[in-house]
Amino acid sequence: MRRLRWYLLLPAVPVIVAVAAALLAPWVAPSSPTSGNLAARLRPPAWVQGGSVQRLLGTDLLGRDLLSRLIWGARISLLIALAATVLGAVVGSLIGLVSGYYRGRVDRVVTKLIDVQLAFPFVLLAIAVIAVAGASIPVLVIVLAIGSWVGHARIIRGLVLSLRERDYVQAARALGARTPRILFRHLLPEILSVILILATFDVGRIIILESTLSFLGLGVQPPTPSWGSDLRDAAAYVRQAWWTSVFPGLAIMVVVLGVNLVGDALRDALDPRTQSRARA
Amino acid sequence: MRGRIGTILTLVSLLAAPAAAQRSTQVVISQPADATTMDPGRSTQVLTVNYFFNLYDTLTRWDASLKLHPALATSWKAVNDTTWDVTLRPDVKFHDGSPLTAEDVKAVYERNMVPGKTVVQSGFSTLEAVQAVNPTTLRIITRKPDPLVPVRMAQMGGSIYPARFASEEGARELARKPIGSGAYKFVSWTKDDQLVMEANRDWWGWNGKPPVVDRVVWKPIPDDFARLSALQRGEVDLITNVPPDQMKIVRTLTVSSTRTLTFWINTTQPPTQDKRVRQAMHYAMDVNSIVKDLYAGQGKPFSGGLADTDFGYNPALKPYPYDPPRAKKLLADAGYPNGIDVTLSAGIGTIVNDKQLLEAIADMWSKVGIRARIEMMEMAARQKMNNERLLPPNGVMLINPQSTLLDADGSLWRLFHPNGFGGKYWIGNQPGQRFHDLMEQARYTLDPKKRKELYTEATKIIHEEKPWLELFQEVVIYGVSKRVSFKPRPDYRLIVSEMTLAK
Repeated sequence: MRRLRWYLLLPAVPVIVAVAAALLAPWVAPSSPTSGNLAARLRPPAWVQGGSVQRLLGTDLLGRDLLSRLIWGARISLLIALAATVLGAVVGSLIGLVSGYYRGRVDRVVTKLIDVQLAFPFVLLAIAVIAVAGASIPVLVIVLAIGSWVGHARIIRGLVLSLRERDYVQAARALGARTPRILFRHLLPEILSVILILATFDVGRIIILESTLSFLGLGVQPPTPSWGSDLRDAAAYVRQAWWTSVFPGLAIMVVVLGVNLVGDALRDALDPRTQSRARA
Repeated sequence: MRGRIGTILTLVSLLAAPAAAQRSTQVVISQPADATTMDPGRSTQVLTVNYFFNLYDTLTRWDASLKLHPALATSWKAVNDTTWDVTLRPDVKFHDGSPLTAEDVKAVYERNMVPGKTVVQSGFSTLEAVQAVNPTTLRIITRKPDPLVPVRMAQMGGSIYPARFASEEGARELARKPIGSGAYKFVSWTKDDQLVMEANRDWWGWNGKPPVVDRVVWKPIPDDFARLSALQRGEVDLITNVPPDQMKIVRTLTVSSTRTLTFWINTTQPPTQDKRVRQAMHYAMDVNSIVKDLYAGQGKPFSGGLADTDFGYNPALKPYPYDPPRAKKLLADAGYPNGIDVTLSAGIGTIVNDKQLLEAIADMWSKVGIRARIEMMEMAARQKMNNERLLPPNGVMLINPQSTLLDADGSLWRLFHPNGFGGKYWIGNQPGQRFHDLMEQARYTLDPKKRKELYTEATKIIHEEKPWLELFQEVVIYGVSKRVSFKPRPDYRLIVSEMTLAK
């Protein structure tokens, strides 16, 4: 494994900050994210005239502290993104693994399924599912996982198709190893790094998808804070109170960028192919 | 995308307009939603009826000060307690050239009187029969003495169209291609894009003067922000539903409206079955702060179920003050010291600031232990819930009703009548209950003084029982360009023939 350079870890800073905020929300948030004071709505950030240090980033449309909304929103947005990513990665990888290993009929069915899914606009699918099942956090996680398993399945399947012909796999099979053992002891460790890299990129994508759905009113329901829904509520006020939309938007952007750059760094460090190319 | 193409097309057509004069007499109006139908029997929705009152005439009409005037009817008189003779304006023609006679009015009213055929039936349910005595004389016979006959002729659903459209099949055609006798003729309609109307130069109401506005283009823009921007860019001349806190950025016309912001509560089961719980919900809401901060002061808190424009309004009833300790005590007295759970819902986009309002109330309630789950519903789902009376027990739903008659009978007894929208949510409206008896008695009382007394008592019951939550009387806010002027109407009707244009 190539050494991780310290500057490659710089983009991890916003991610770590967001994760810390999410974990420590009850202790670090200066006030309640759902309780506000209508008389103090749309107050500007502390450094703008009319702002106060008690409300560092100003207040939102209902006089709630924006910073507290962002901190608690991180909890919801990251929780959903993480849960959906893990679910999508596990399901997608398993399907890819099985389909690539067994080939034949199983593979044909899976690839058709993948094609169908890829041909379907995700937001449309999400609207349909949420319209039927109702908007709630578990439904949201499942919908987002539905949108992400395909990427995993496709890539893992391709990898396994070539890996299964490798000597060590053939040898294990010749020695009489059962299929589950081959899949999980011989193939899985080999592709684990790929899964990890794919999942890292997915986190960023899913944060944006979650924000999109919340923005469309299909995601997290009020008054639960989420970056996407906060952004939506603030959209009409961008002229009078820029901070209400700029900060949630900035939070999404910085964290997604950070996650993607970390993913890049991870890939460079873990993926044997980029390594060999680097050496060549 | 379609919206944008529509915008471009309008811009192109504006640029390509041969005479500058034509452009100056066109008005573009933007509401948050398109009309759902052109059939006046099929909608009482505030945005949709605005189309009706330009295309069709009614027998009587309210002016912008809510005074009743003759329209298609030139005079009316009660022959006896249950019979009215109405004289129609002679020589009125529909947009297709056919004459408007008493037969047409009879056909429309008879369609409206049949339960289930239209959504305006409740307003016509006191009528027994309608007869066409001769082409310009109409006789209306009521079941019991009904003092509101002249007003009923002005209400929603009173729009007159040719008799041939009163059939099931005719109504379907009318819904797409309306033909009335109103100041404006229908030209074309592209759903969710634009509807065009053109001045009817033969309209009786111009009184010999030419119409000020020759062409009206209705262009729905759902998003508040986009609608405001369209006005600022000069793409539209008039917008409705301006959020109060955006009033500063455009020129506005406002007037206190006949609509009230209220919440249905399904009180059929505990805890909201107990009136102390409902009172607690009121004492826990800081309505003054909501009006002042969330609605920029645009609104007037009320109590007793009626707007101050309605006959029967009781000024003695003062809105409940904000009093959280009292709310807590009432909840404890009712047996809920640990609070209660309710669902708080609203249709997305029907009412200005709806989501913020719900969140603010849920926040205020949480301080006394009322835990509200917020549910923003799609319009279709909300419509279904409302029409089929499906609000679950302890459900609370935002509405903004108005009196269709500027009278308690057109609001309280339209909504709380056992067959009304809220008929199933409260026991107090059932026969044998005091409220029911008062409302039924008042409906058929001819003496205005006596009616007023009956309504004074009925509104007291609403004030005390709180079968719904009462917030405030809304203010109508229009955003207008510099060239358009008109007197905004408390009844929310946008009537183009009442507008004037700056030179």
